[in-house]
Amino acid sequence: MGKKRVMIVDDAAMMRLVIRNMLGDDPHLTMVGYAANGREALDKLDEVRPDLILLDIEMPEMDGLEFLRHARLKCDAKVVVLTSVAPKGSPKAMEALSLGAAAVISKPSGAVSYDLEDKRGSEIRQTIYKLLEIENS
Amino acid sequence: MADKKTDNDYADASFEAELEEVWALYAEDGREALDTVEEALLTLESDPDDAEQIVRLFRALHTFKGNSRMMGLDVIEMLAHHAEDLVALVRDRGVVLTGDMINLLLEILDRSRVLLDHVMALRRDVEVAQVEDLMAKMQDMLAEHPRQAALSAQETLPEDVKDVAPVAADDASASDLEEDDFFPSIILEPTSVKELVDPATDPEYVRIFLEMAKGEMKRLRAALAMLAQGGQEERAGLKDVRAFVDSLGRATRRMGYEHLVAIVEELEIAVKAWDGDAQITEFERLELALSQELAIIQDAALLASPLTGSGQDSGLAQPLEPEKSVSPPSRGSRRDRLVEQLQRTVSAAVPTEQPSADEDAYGDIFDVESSQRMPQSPSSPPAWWGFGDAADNFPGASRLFKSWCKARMQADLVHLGQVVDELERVTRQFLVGGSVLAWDQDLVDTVSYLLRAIYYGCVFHRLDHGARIVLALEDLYARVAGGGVALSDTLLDLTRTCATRLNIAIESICTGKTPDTTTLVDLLGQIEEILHLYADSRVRQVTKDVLDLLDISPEFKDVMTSENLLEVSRALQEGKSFYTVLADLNQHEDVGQVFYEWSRSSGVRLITNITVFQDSHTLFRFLLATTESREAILETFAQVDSQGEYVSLEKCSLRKGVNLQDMVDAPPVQPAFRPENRAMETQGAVSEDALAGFLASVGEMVATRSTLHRVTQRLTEANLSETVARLVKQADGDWLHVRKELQTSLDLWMTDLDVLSRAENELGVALDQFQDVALALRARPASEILDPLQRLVQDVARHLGKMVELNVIGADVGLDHSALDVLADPVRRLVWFVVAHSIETPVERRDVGKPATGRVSVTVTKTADHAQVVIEDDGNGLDPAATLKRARELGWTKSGKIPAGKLVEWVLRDGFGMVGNSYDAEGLDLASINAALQVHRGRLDVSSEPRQGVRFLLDVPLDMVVIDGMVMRVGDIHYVVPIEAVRRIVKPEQTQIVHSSADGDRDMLLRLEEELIPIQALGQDSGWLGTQGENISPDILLLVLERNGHDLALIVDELIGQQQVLIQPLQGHLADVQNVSGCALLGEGDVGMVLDLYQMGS
Repeated sequence: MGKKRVMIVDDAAMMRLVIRNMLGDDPHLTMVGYAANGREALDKLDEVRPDLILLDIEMPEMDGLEFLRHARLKCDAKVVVLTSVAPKGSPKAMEALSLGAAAVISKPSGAVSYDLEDKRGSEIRQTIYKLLEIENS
Repeated sequence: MADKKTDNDYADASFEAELEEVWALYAEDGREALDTVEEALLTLESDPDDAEQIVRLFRALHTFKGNSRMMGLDVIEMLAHHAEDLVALVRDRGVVLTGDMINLLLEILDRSRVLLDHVMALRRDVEVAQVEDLMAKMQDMLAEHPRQAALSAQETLPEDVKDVAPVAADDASASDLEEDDFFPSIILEPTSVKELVDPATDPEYVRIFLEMAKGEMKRLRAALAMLAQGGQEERAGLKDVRAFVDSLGRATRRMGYEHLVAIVEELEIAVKAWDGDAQITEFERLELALSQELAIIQDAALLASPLTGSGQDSGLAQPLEPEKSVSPPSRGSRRDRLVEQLQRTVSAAVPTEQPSADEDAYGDIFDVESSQRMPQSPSSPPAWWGFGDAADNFPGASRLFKSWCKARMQADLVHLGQVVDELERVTRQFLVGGSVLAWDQDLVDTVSYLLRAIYYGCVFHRLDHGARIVLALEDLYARVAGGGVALSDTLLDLTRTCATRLNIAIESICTGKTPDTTTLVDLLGQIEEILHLYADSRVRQVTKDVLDLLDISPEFKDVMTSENLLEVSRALQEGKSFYTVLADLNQHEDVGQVFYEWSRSSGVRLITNITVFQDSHTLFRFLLATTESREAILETFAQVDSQGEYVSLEKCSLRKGVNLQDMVDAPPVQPAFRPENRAMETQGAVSEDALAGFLASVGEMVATRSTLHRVTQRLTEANLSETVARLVKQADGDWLHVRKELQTSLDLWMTDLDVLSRAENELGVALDQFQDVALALRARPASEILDPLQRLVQDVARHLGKMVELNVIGADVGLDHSALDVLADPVRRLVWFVVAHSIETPVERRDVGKPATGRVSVTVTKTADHAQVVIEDDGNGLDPAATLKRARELGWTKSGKIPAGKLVEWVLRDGFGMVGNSYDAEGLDLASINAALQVHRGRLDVSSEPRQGVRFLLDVPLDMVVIDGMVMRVGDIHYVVPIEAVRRIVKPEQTQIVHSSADGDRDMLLRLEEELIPIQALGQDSGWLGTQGENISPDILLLVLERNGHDLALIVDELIGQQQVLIQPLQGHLADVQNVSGCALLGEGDVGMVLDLYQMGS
């Protein structure tokens, strides 16, 4: 089975870097695209054809929630929302799930969470594996 | 006569005939649906991934289920429902359709056919036993996908979402676990049950779809033009058509537009079979069909806006499903008949009871109705949904379902009101009596279920605000069920109000009027405020504390998590300084990198950050803590940003009045109060100290006793009288010698007397210590009853949506355990009362210019022989209007005003009943509390100032305390009063005695300087004082005592003197003696009654 294609959508360049560093070495995953907002991500979808999208919510131009609507109609990719603005039970988290997000994971230290790998790395990987049915060996 | 049929008989016969026809139609539809199930399953056997067949299978089962429900066939419905759930896992949750699943579904199919025949033969439902085996098999199959099974029961989240839950938990470290329990990072099970949004019912989705389809159609038309050109363009054109098929096909499937899907699939087949120009016409036909379908969807989207045409509540579009608007004409007549039949049937008996408990009910109704609508041509506006006769192709069907939905919704609203009443009853039990809020979870679940059903009703009736209110309520109840939110009476009241207002709105809609949505908008505002208030209240509370501590921007509070707060706490403990940094990290990689590296360095704690959109730039504002100086930080940043263009730094100062050192030095926060442990600890600590002191005192007394023994023995041996007698006898005139001898003996005697005196002092000291220690053994700190109050106050405040700060004074006052036992319950109830009834809600407090947080103080003090607890607050106080109303009801007054002092008198008078303000909680019977205290010779004083709060004073006399008492005699009885209460001893002149009443001599006053002091006699008769006009007895003695701020002159026969006494509780018949709080041993066998000055004259 080939590597699963992952796209990262976050308006913080450092977060895109942090996530890439976190998942870049994963033998089962390949980072296929980056976008700084929902619009940019939407434009790249056809070209990138991701299996999974790691999506921030709070972004300029097109936010993550609107992107979720478009993505559901445009592609089959699973979407994992990575956000600091949608804690448990918050309307945004609920909305993201109801719009088709497969999971919502909170960033540990705000929009730019350098400690993402330390605090959520394993969780994010496990979630991705589960969603993409990757055997965790 | 018997043969003569009445109109009713004919009507019944007609009804029966119509019903028969409905049964026949049910059978026909059922067989057709089961045939479809079979076809789909057989196709899926060879290609389990055929998504279209899975959708077909699901819809056929769904139709069969819905029809069975309509006929009241619960068992068949249940079977179909579970089969549908199984297929739903495949359709929606990505579960692979296995051979076993197909076999089981085929088995269900076969059984369903048999059962359908059975039903048609008997015209009634089958037995559960007939499907139990299949149900068990389905359960087993679902159990192979446990989380899917949970979902099938609940229909909440995408399966794959829930599937990862244990992963997140397993992965967490021990410390993370604790935090995750508090605030899990991954959202797997939201507090509110939310279904995946159905795109076809979501206007935003429809909009996006139409926008996308528009672009795709453009692409298709361009592609067709290329195909028409032929040559090299042909290939590119075909590629684009394929891309079109792929893109629009996916989107239409996701939207659930089946008819569009069918056309796209025809196009796909045509592309595969492309053999040149001949097919251009076919392509153009399909393009036209697609355009027409899309036009219908677009029209439908426009029409979907207002139900009543008034434009309100347009936010929630209904499932238009326009793809069904072009149903095969051949089915029209049959459906037409079905509609007619159903209309007649149902109009004869509109359902008034709640149908089977399934929250899909409305969804099914939508399906059935939509299956019956059939516009005359594709260009006709699909106005079936509106109930206007002119625009409606099937007015009968619309009326039928309108009627059904109205009845259903009204029944649900009534039921909701009843369940809320029951919940309120249970809650009140908690508030008044119990200490554990143990509401019936089933009731909360029922409310949630009803709200979900009502939500569908609102959607059906296009009450956007109503739907949002119901969803918000559902969210709140889900939090209640999860323990995150206390079930407040405010919430219950809002639920009731919601039911009432929705009922009114439904009535308006169903009578063709425009509902007044302003009341719903108001209600929505209130509920959302509560939702906001309660959401993550714990984190918000701590966040507030942090924001109170640090002078940082309040916008951080929205992103603060428990983890962040932990970081803040650690940083505080480490004595770090806090900064905010506004950084533009996206402009230059170097800046981002340097900031990244610096923030990861050991001395820096990154707490959290927020996104700041500035023009077209995305900036981030960080809150961080570090030991580095401002200069050092700036130096670091200057490496890449010398101008300070991208990174700016601000130090967060501590708020005024906050002493960080105090906070750092403060003892760690105590864990949640555990009464049983605390009691044991307290008792253990006291016992240990007391025993040590006890032994020390015993040691001193033993030593003193030996001194006494030695001296008394010597005095006995040295017998002074014998010595004097002997010396006198031997003197023989030599008095000088006698004097010398006598002097020596007297000196020895005086020395011993001195030793005795010292011994007595030592004994007194030792006895004092001994008493203290002995009393300490019985005493317990007031904290035992005060500590649990914090929890109570916070629980009740949260429950009622109030903010309250409790201030406790005197927690370390030691009181005899008997006094604590007497005080504990009244104190708890009264503190509850002030929080529940006197303290206002934050909004009310703001409105009257008070701080949002109410204050309650509880102060425990101890005098020589009394314990007092004062409970005060800064709330509304007792409600004078409600009190007056009650007093008038009881016939205690006819006045429209409360006479001075009467408010308190009334609320403490037997029979007044519950005292309470107009808050949600039940009142409190203050008279019964007073009575309970009086049993122990205590009392309750109340004072209340409107808008300034209420003050309760609880006073109980203390037993087993040693006081310095003044002992006196009245008649044959000795009395004791605390010496501290004695103000003067007066031997009055006749002129100092004033009779205050004209008709008797019992109310007398002592004129003492400028004061008039009431005279009170102990015993039954004070006649010996002399009646008016007679001379007063010259021996009369008055003891002027101060009692609770007032003076009292007591008539006594004799003053015995001052003495330390141990007050002991009165036993037996003495327990009923008035004005006496205990008794005391006076020595020489006398017993004194200790007067209770607080009780006297009250």
